[in-house]
Amino acid sequence: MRVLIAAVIGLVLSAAVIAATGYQPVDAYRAMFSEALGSVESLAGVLGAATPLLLLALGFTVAFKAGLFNIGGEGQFVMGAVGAALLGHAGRALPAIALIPLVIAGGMVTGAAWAALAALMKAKRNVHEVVSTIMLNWVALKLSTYLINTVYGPMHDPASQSPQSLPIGSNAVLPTLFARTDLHAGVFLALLMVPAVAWLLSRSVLGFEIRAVGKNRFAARTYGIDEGRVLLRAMAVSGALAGLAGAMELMGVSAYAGALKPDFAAGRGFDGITIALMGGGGPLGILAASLFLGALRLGAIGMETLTGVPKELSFIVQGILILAVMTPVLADYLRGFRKSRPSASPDAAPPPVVPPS
Amino acid sequence: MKLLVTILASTMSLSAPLILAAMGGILSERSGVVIIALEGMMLGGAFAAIAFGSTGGVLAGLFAALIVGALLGLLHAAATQKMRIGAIVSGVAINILASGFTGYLSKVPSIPKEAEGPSIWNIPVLCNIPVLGDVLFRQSPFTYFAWITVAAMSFFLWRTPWGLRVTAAGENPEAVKAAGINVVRLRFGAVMAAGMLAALGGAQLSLGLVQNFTDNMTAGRGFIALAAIVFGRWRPGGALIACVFFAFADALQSGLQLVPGIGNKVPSELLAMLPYVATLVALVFFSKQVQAPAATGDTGD
Repeated sequence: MRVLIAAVIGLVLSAAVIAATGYQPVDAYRAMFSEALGSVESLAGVLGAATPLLLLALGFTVAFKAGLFNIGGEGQFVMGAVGAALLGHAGRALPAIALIPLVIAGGMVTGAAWAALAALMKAKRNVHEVVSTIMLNWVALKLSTYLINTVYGPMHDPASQSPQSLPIGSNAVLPTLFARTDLHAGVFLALLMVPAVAWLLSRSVLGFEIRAVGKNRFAARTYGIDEGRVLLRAMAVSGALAGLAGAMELMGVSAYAGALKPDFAAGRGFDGITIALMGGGGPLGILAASLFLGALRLGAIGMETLTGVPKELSFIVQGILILAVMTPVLADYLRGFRKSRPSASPDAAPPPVVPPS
Repeated sequence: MKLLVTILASTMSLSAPLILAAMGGILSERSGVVIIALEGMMLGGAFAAIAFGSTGGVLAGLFAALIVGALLGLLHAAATQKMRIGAIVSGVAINILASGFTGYLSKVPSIPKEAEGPSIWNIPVLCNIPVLGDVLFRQSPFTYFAWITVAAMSFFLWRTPWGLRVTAAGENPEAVKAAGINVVRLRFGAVMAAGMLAALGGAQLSLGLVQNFTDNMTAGRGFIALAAIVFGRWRPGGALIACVFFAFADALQSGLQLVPGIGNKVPSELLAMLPYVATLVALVFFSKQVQAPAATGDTGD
């Protein structure tokens, strides 16, 4: 409910922006909706666009539950693709059954390592993760552009005139499920991660420790939880999910054809944050929010092609959405309407009692 | 030698945006409001300065940047103090909003993307000193202004009643409230002023340095300014040193690309990493002992 109202606020304010810049809001929104939801093909496209966003949001959530604000999804996504491209090319002779897990592992491990750097700096040297992950994003961006540079890039494909990496073995290229869309077989693995992350956070020992540290790191420490180790693991899982998103994008999206190309991340690391906040930290909410943002992005591209309204409008909607969704004031206001149903969020529950180990 | 002078002179001009943003950041964080929104505020200022500077001249550009900065500050203050949104969440949202707005507006055909910047001020007599004159006294007025801001901010924070109240609001808001001062209003002022300073930093980046606007041209500088605040322990003088250091890393990487023995051997992308890596290394060395103002992150009531 709150999210829907936030979305309406976002779209209404953006309509004002469209009108103020001399375009037709009605035409623009009509184009946006029909491009995102108008046909089976566009719905498949939305699911394809949502696939990496879902993984990035799940990754952000794991770190967030431990009290870490990981804005490094962008860098971890790109580095995951770099690791996947490296292993995918090195093992190109392998059969699919061995190569696909290898490429996925390459993405997850490099993504996890990139995120772990920030966690290490946090645990050992008290470096705030918001600044360190942003810096690591820029380093990852420059590093990946270097690796695929046409002249001296060590990963550049000599058969190509433009900057792109050597392609991964064709055995690891995932089939497209719906022609002319980005929907590929990786969507199943991404969907599988929804219950997996839910299990990790609510049922596993690590998930328990993550939540304990996130609720109150001092109390967790008192109960004998090694805070630094938990932060490191939470961040590594977070980065592994972002890296997985990068690997699967590389493996499945036909425009890449298994090779790393410039502008790979394109701001999607930040979309993961929006989705996680919109989804309220719950896996199902995250799934719904990733479909919504996938539709918004895809619709905005269609809107720009059809009506000329710049697709960056979707970022304006996104910024307003974050503010609207995260306002407890809005929630209070809504609660006033629905007094019959007290909405106690699970996050408001008291922290669990931790037995001393 | 000539290269060294060039690198040092551009260290000075590249430090100005960082210094202005860092001074704004200190003001906001000292008042108790974490401000990772600096990046978006710089970007908004950079865009407004060009969009309005192209038709109205430098002063109109600066004025527009100040307004945009104040509005973004107002939004951040309202979000954290009135709407009870976490300061980091609000900051991320403002950064995305600024990137979205500037990206959107720069694609609207009727909005200009280039403008003439202010001319270099050669300080009489002093600019003729060898080396030093070229480095320090042939600069854009922005650069001189940024340096004056450091002294002004020091004076404001430690020598004026308002400044002391701002600092107190960040350390012990309850005590300030008990003294009958409106902490929320104080923070609104501090965050809006912070937005204006950061936006001026952005204006120096676009109008002062390159005379045009490109998408996301701040490239993490708001966060580098934030790192400079940590490094300088929330003190204007300390942050100044850090800003000059980071600007030097930036000037060095672009300077080295011009050196025949280096520019054609070391890939430009690796050189371009220098400012970011320098920031990380500096944070690793200097974050351990620092203590942020006690009440940062606390929201309004």
